[in-house]
Amino acid sequence: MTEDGTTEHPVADDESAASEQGTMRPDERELLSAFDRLRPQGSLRWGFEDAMRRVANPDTVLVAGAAPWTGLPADLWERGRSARIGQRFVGDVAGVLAEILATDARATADAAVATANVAAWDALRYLAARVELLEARVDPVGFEIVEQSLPPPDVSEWVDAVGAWLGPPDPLADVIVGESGGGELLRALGGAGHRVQGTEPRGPYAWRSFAGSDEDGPPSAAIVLGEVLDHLRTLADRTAAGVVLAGCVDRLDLAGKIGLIDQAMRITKVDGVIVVLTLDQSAWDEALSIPARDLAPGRPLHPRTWELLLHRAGMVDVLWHRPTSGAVHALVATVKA
Amino acid sequence: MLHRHDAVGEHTRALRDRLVASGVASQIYTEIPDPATRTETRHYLDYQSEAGDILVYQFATESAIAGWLASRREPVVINYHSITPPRFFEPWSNPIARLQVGALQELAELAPRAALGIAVSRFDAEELRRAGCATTSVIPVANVPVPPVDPDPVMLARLGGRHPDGGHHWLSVGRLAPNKAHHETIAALFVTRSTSDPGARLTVVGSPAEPSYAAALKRYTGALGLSDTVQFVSGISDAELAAYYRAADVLVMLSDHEGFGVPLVEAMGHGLPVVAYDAGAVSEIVAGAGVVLRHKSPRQVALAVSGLLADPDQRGRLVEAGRRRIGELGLADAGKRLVETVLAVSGSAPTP
Repeated sequence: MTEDGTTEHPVADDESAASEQGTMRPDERELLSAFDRLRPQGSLRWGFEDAMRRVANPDTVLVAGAAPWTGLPADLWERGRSARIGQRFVGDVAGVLAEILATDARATADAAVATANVAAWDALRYLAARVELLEARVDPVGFEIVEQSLPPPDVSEWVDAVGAWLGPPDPLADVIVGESGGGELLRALGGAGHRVQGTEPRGPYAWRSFAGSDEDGPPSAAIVLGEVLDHLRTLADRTAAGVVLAGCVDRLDLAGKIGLIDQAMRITKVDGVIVVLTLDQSAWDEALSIPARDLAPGRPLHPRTWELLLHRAGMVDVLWHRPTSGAVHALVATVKA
Repeated sequence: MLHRHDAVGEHTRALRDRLVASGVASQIYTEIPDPATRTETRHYLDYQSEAGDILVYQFATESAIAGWLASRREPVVINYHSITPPRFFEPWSNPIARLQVGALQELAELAPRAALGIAVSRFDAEELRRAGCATTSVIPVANVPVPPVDPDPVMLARLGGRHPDGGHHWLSVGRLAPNKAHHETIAALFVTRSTSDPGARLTVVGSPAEPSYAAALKRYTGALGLSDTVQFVSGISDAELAAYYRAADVLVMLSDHEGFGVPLVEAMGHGLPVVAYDAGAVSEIVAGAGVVLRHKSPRQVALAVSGLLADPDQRGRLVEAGRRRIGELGLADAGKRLVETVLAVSGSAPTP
């Protein structure tokens, strides 16, 4: 124990030197970064609520209320506290005037807001109410993935095939795998020389992906703990070698599914490949409880429907591969300019 | 406002009660009345000065009262309860962050004019001095009961049985606010369950002070598969909280900013060992009577907690040290010292 009572807690021998120095391993950093991404700052709702607050409470009001002495002689406070009766009187008057000035400034600002902006204020509030109604209709239950208790789909049948469809590894671009589940596909593609990046919204499976990597060093793949669609939106145009989608393509509602395709197309280089691994609809029904089946915002589409969506999105060479041993269908499409 | 079941509110009422018990007239003034305490307070603009008055300001957040006090001639005592730096709230609540900025500005204006600044820790006293307060005094929080409150027997019985999963019970106490860093405790619990203690569980006791942070905590808990393992509790009585302290195996506090850390001393009073992050006044308050970490990565916290719980001798030593620490802090007579210090100001105030 140190002199100030702080304990330099002994670190086990098998921990990296980085931990002892307070630098986190990549999996720890990602564990905490996943929470940071839940911050509302920068979101549309955040910006809207701040703008509404500024409509109702312009900054001038706060300044006037907090500093009643602003603008008055700097030594007025001291003269008001002196023993000389004349100067004390001036101090008393100045004190009263300062309060009145502050109150008047506040009232003036309030009146300006009330008279000039009341119509705009009303319009914004009604607009906000309409948006909230729309949002509630999109997902009234707010069923989270954890409540659906659905494990990642078993894509083991397609591990070798995905590697073949992606072609030779691109040394300058990542293959994005979302959802990466326990990391089997990540490890296989990484072992074949691809640069891979995984996204997995379920913490226990994401951790398994980290744990599956070399324990003596950093994970062999970068893994993001979060929703696939959110992560794809953060990636730049035409920077991915390819995208493999599993799990999310079954869970999300139709708008989410289309969002996944649009984002995958945006970020994939020309001639890159997008793979959709989708669970057979009957297997989905068998795997979920009845409430989860009823309340989940989405369910797997038939592969024919995926063919249609991929064509309509502008992809070419769309091929549907039926499973031979599992319950997961594979669709492969190429991105063209 | 004067809130019930709020640390600053209870401290304010305790000070008023002690002053009255000492034969000193005392009245609480607020900017905004709380309906639950309306009969106990008056609006600050209704204050009528009388000779010998001392104005004690419970400084915790932004208020128009601070600016009003800066213009008063009566001696002003700042009873400082620490202003959480705005940067902790910026990503979560712009309005609250702006309030904290305003509070810091008000402190800078008021502190140089105060006759005395009373802080609950040396850490907070240093903040007052940096703000320009010439005279400061350190008196710990006045409303921590010594000996501690007896636990609610019904709650204790419900919590006391060994959990079916067999793991250890972590406890965190503190408002669901960003500076309390409950998300880091949850991350450490996740690592612990994945490595050394698969049955470990956590109870977080605290009101949802910042709704967006509280919602994110629950979403994060779900994403980590811990919805059945992490329990969020609020609105309980002091006796029920005492039951949680008695039933838990360890208090984990990873706050990024603490002016004192009341849960630390509450835990010590109940014989619960403490693992805490060295922020603010934590190491000053714990002073060797708990495990204080300089770094709080999820693995390091998991290792520290597991190590402590696996070592009954260390655990026993820290529990005993915690009980001694309560006496060293002088919590039992903090209220008396607060009253004496405030009343002494009238003898030292400058003559108008």
